[in-house]
Amino acid sequence: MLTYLRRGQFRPSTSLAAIAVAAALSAGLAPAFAQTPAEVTVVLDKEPPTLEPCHALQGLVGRVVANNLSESLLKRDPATGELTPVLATGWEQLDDLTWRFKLREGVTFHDGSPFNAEVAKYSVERSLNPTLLCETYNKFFSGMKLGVTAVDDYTLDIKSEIPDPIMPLRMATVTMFTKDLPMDARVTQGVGTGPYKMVEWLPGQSIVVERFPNYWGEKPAVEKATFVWRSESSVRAAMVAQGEADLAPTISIQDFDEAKGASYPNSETIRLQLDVIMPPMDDIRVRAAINYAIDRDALRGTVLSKDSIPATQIILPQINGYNPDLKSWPFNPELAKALIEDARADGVPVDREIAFYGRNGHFEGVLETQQAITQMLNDIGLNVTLQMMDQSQMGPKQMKPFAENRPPELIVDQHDNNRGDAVFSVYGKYHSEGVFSRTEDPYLDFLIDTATSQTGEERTKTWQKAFDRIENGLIADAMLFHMVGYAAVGPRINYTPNLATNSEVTLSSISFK
Amino acid sequence: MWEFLARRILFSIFAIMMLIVAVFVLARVTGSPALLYLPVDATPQVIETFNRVHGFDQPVAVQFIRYLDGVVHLDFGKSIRRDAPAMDLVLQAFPWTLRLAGVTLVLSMVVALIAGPIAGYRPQGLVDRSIGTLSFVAASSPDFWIAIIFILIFAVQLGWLPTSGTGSIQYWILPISVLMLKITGVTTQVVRGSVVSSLASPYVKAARAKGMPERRVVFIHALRNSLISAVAVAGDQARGLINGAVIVETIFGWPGVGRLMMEAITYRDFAVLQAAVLVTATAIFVLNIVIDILYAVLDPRIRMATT
Repeated sequence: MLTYLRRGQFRPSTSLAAIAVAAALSAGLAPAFAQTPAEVTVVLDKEPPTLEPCHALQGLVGRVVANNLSESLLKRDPATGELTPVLATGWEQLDDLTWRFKLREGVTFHDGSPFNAEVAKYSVERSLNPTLLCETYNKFFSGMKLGVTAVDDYTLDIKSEIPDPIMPLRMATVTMFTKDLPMDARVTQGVGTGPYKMVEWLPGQSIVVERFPNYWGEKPAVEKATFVWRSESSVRAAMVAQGEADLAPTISIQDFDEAKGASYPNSETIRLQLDVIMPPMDDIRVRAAINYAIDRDALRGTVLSKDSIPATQIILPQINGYNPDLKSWPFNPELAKALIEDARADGVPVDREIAFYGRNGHFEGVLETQQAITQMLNDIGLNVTLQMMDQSQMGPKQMKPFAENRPPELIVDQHDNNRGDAVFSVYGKYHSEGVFSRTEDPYLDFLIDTATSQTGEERTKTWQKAFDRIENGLIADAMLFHMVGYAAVGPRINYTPNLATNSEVTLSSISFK
Repeated sequence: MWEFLARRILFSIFAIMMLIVAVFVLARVTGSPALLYLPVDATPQVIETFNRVHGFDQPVAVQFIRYLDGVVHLDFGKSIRRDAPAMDLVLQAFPWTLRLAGVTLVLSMVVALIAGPIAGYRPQGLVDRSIGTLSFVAASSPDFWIAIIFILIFAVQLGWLPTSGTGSIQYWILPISVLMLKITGVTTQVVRGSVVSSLASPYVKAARAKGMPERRVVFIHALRNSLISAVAVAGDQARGLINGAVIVETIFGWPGVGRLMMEAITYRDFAVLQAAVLVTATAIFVLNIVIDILYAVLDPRIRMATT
């Protein structure tokens, strides 16, 4: 049939050339990312589900809301751990049960209405309404009943049923909003007093905020900010590299370029929770052997980030109660084997299968970390089997009541405490009544109960004793690492990520070069 | 033909009803949303309140009846995650996906209807082999990988296009290119095969014998006969576009229903998931009907056989 083809009648190369030209034309459109000098774009991993101010404690919400749109009476400095005034200028304990907060005068909300004690009272009461299930209530006030009184226009008293020495710390988690937010229903946006006010939220696309001209505090450098979201870390990093965004607060290590970003402790700590109730881990020699068997240095820089810090306790040094005297367990497999053999000789069933549970996607490198640890533990003579599962399966295994016919369990636990005090970690994890706790030690309970009711230096020292008891006296777990996060920072701005970066991106801490 | 269409419509309605039940059951099999929405150390009282507020404390049968009542009234309730009516969220996102899928489908058909005949004109020739290899690679490349590679090449290395997002026409190029690859690859191969067999058929020989120009023989006579198979495969691929959209929308930050569905699954946002599945299924059902009608328009034999 080719004999019928006449020259010039049909040339595939002509059509191909046309396609190539079209492709070249379309590809030649160079993108323009116009940004005025005082504007920034921040790319997050997910869109905030809501901007309800009483949810500001939730990471996804807090990154836009906390200290940008809304503020609290006071806040905790992530670097020092100290409480600093925001909408309160001072606070004092009147008696065991009552705390008094002096409020800042001359503050207005973004809608022009004034901030005063009545509004603050409403904000506290609404945030603590149990049916609203605000994140603040769920995390910090669940089960507590508070009496809130507006003493005068700028004085607020808060009274608890039992003494609460860390009430100011708790109040740092309650954001202030106008009274037109309904008491019994959540909203998707509120009106705050923060340095930025909302311009527009295009669902699925972006949130734009701009500097609030009547802000009571120092004028921040950033005039306008756009929050966008991309789930892929490589895309977020690419956006910063291309100048489409100025800041990506969280990216993966493989997308991290040290010259174009910074690593930071992200306030997460990982550990192995040991089933101290079930044999063979009810024997302290086995628990010590597990700690000696883990080569922590081998995990860093291989399956986990080289910047992760070996942990000696479940909180970071910036948190009140941290015990600086605790030492990380050295890697000593020979001693670990000897301890196992010693336990075996005394009839401890060290050959019993131990179920080692991990959660898919829990943190970067979780599977590889658990595979390596499984090998290390089996090398010293234990019988450990790794099982990875989803959060919905893992959750019930970590909480009381624990199944009676369960195998002895090893669980990888990741915990986040950037709220300033050990109480938010220790009670639930180690007190005999704690919902996640497998330890039942009267002395530890005593230390925890005592620290909870103390203030100042005494409180710190009692927490430190409690950590010593947990890590050296009971060997209740095998601490692994304080984890790090990575941020990509564009060349136009100065921004230093910190312990709070996971949960808030404070625009006023950004300056331009 | 109308009887055939009526049968297809009835079958699709039945399929959607089955889907309505399945999505309710399967969503609940994944577990309680309370575990995802509340802090891990939430007290039993908080969990109880959460379940009561969202109706999860009711027996499953009661939840199912409420759900069916909602389906009838097109009211799927509020999104747990976003505190907004689920149907509003879906209807907000759906046009984005529709536009993406529509443009992709049209462009890929155009490319396939040009490249397929060119390849089929000289089977096993250099052009055919080149197009064959390209379309095979395109059809078998994972969307996820292609999307990331395209971003790295066209946005990061060459700087020609934005990495992601929405806006001017430039923002459409990468997501559409990624979505187009697979569907274009498959459709091109189908058109090519059909053109090859058409060119060997007696009616083409007759056309050539009459001295008809080659361009007309290939692009009018042979291609017209290949359109039915092209429409069939493109229709089938269009359904696959929804799957592709989940990945492409997630990577490129496209505010469509694919990304919304992914989010709803991840966060056990039952109301949004149910609304998204129903809207998507209805769209696919409408698409099927359109394809059936197109068949009849393109092929007189179908019209004749069913009237």
